[in-house]
Amino acid sequence: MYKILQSFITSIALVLVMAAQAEPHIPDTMEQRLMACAQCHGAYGYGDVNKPEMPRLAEKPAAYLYKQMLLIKAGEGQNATMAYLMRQLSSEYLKKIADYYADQRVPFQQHAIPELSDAQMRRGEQLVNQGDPVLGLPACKQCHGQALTGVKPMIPGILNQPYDYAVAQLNLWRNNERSVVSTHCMWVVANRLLKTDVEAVAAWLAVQALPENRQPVAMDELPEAIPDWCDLVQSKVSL
Amino acid sequence: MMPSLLCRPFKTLLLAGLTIIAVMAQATEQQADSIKQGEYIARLAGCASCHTVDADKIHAGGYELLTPFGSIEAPNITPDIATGIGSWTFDDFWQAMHHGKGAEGKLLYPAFPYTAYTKMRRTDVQALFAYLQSLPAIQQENPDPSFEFPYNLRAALYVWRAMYFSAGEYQDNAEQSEAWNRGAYLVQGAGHCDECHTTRNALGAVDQKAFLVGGIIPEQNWYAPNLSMQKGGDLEGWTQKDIVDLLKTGLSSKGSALGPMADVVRNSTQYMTDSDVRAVAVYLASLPAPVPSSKTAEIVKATNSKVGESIYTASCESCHGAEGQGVAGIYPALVNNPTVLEPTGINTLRSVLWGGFMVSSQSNPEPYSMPPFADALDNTQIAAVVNYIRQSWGNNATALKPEAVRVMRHKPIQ
Repeated sequence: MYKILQSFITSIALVLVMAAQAEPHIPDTMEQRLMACAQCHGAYGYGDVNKPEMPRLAEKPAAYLYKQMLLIKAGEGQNATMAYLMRQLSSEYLKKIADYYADQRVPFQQHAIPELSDAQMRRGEQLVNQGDPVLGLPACKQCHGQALTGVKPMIPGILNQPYDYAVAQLNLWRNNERSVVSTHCMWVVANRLLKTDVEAVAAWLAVQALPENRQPVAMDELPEAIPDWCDLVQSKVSL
Repeated sequence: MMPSLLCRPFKTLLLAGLTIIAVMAQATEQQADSIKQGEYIARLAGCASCHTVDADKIHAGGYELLTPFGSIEAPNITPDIATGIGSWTFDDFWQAMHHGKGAEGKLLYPAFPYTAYTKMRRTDVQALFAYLQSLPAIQQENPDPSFEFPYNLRAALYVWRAMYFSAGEYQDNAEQSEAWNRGAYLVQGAGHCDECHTTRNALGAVDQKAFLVGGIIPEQNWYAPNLSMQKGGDLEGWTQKDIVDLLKTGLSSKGSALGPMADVVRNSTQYMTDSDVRAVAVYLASLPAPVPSSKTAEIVKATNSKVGESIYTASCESCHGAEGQGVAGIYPALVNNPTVLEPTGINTLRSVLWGGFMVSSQSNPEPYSMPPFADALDNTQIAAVVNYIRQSWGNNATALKPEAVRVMRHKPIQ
């Protein structure tokens, strides 16, 4: 009886060892499926402090993420790597991917920023919270939400984004080169910013703590309507 | 008397009316069947791979095909009168599909694979035409192809055609089974597999003496393996089930569909009926091994396999396994995988550089992915890990130099 039991246990152990050698264990999760995305955008789309040129995806509005993916897939994002990666994916799957990243709770990340003077940091805060009527600049808050966590369906949260990414995007807008664009008012706003303002806004936003509730809010929760010259469709507004 | 006199013509009329309605209903039903059949033919022929860019504008054209002679955009084939083929008769369509001639006899560039479509049966082409004419008409202009001199001269096509094209429907081979003939018809005709899987000569013609022996797809920089399953063929060791799995899902136990072949699975083969996809496997199983075999070339051994091994262990093993065995239905095996072993090494190299997702197909709607390593690894490291994969676990393919990685980094990928 003991011998039978012993050989039984040995054979079970052998089967387990063979199974372990035969195939790696692959979790049936979105995170595992999306390892290609995580390579640049970080695990769970949290972003990666070592890749400051890459945006995080987590907790951005799902519709915004979905639209960005469709545009990049269609070649309008001028990002050949991402267009290739998404080429074989159905719209349904892309939508699910957008929902997945929108649902992640993003943690605070310590992004590196250049050394700016206190005055420049205060200028950043001023632009974000009050804007600058002289330059015709609305506060970032007015459109990106009181807590700057974005507005559904199409306005992304901008708090605690990597400095390099934010500066790069604002400069692309200034040069009218940001091809994945859902609105042209950012083009107007970015062109009214001075170069030092771009740095100030990006740096101030990059180091801010995240509020408890980081989800994008609904459009009707904005205390003040977005500026009337900022149509959310693609029409060019003169400077 | 009177009622019956009145009644008879009425009855006749009623009967005639009903017959007309029945005949019309039958005709509409036949038309609907034909359109449905045509939609299937369009899948088999992979029309969408070139003629559909935007899923909301089916067959409105626009995909730019790169060739060594310049680029050409697939035209609008919706029934729009001004920009599509709305004014075409079936005869016009047959001229294009069977003879490679467009409106007013204009010779078509063989980027449109009429050298294969000519083998399609007239009934299939009729169904395809019925389907295309049933689509919503979309107005979208067709840009002129940007071919360089002398390839921009359509007259040059007279010469090309005389050398490389003869029109003719597929003829059954009486010595072969029904399934074999169906498979041959699909592979040589609508499937136009030879467009990638047969080596092209300097004038872009596929070499019929080397049918399906594989080669680099010009401009796209992917290696299309030869399709022989016999000893010495790139698909040596594949079962018919492997062929069926790959065509239906993009992934088999022996390898996966990448680049242009992933497009083919997504747009075309995943929709094939079970009997058609089996017929293709039956036909491919009969293809002779190429002579000389692509595997007989001299193998250069890698010198830095320790570097390659450590990169593999750190970055590849958790998905592809310590022995390169992969995970069934999720990640491809690397052992004896024709994509890994193909003579040029560019398929593996590009997969490491740019990663990729498996195809989202009906049977695998939410596929897994491989990360791109272009930013994470330098040219020497990528060459080392590619060589490790190509020369481990019984794999034996020639080593690549870091220079090959540098070249491929700058080739656009589609």
